[in-house]
Amino acid sequence: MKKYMSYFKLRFNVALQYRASAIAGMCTQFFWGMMQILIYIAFYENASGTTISLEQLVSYVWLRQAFYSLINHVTDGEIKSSIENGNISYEMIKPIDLYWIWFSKTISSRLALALLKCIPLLIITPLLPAGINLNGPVSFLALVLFGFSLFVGMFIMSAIINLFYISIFYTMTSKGTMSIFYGVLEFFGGGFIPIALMPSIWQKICYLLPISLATDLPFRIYTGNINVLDGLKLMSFQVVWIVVLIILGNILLNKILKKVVIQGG
Amino acid sequence: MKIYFKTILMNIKSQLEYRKAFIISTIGSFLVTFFLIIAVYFLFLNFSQIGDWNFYQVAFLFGLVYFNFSVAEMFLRGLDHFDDTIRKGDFDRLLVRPQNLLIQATSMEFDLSKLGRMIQAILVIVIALLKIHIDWTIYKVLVFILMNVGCFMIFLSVFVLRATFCFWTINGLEFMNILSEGGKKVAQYPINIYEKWFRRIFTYIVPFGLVNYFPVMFLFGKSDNWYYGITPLGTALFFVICIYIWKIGVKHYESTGS
Repeated sequence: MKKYMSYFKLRFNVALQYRASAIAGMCTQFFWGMMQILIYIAFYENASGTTISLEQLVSYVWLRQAFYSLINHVTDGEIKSSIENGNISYEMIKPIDLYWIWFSKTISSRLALALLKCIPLLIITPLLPAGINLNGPVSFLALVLFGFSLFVGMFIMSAIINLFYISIFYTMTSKGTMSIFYGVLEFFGGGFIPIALMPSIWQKICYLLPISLATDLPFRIYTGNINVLDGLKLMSFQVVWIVVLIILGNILLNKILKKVVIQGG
Repeated sequence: MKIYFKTILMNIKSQLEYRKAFIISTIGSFLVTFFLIIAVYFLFLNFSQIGDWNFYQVAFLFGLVYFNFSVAEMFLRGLDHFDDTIRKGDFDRLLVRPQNLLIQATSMEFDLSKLGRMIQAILVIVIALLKIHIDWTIYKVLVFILMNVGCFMIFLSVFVLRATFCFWTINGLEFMNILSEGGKKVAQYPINIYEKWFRRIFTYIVPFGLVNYFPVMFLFGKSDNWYYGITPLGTALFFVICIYIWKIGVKHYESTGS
């Protein structure tokens, strides 16, 4: 455990140093959120019986932007290329578990980036003019559940990303699978359209999958679009999924690692 | 120009060598665009229309933007990855050759897998055109072509601008993505649905409005002003300005050394 923690600390500190790109990223996130909100405002002029109110949707968009680095699909280029070009063998001869090293790397850089980005966004967005601003949580309990489900969501996302790394061992390339991975994750995670605006059958499908539990559920709990009781139920799915994903990842990784041949040097 | 096509051809050949990777990437780029248009469709299930525009009219704009973006991504990949070129010092190699720098930088890469996105976009345009009633005249066909040329010009200019940015810093490139990625998202919808200040940015600074709102108003018969059809020509001005900035950038360039 100690060695994974030290990996964590190292990466966390490195990520904190990229402040310039974090600022640029924050501006991007702000602009991106603004744009989405403007589009939704235009759409809501013709609204009739949507399952999410404009007010909730605006808060949803801002929160998602603020915590985007925790739950996005971004993968580590270094890990990807190390599997592709074989440098991963250096990691493999160390007495560490590849799976958990990746896990701590992913989570550490995510937490650092999120920390840099979310604070300014969370300060600015509530101060915006009414109608386009971030509202407070629907209740204190919702806020607590939001925090908890977001935290578990981050672990789910890291486990999914680990599965992607493992898939590179099988396919030997990340280029093509990357865009499929991106498309599926964004769509079923509510990145292209919030899950609340999908037809109800699609909403059900999405909530059976682990992705939306990580990228959509926390924000809907916060805005009150999903009530506390349903939220708790879906959070239990989260726990089931995180266990399933981690076990699955470990099985697949160990299976392929037995077959890996290191060629020459 | 001849050299450009030769380099491109070599690039295509090398990509086709890795057939499996090529097929997977093409499917991937198809899938992403497919999911995106499904998302727009879902939105219209909720709201039936946006302003006085229906799904097919918006789908037409969507197809237009994504078609030209896929062309831009395919042919201009070298500009998209210009930060790598600068970082590795490869740009020095280009400087010593007696060829146009911009063409050289552009031809360094070619991404055939964007074919997937292109096919998807063409499908969307065709379906949209079948569902929208347009009184076609020769002039309207011309307007349609002009819209595409103009849209491509904007992406070209934005890519050049983004590459120029790399001469000064390769940090914060993400911010420049707002121009291309953001513009793409904005131009999917007729620009008159936005607030005034926002509309102005995307008409006068990054002129997506010129290839989207005005010509489409004329094309769909929402307006009889024939001169709305030639507004895409305005993108040429944007292009000239971007090329000028690029030239300044090249003068400013100092090698990273090795």
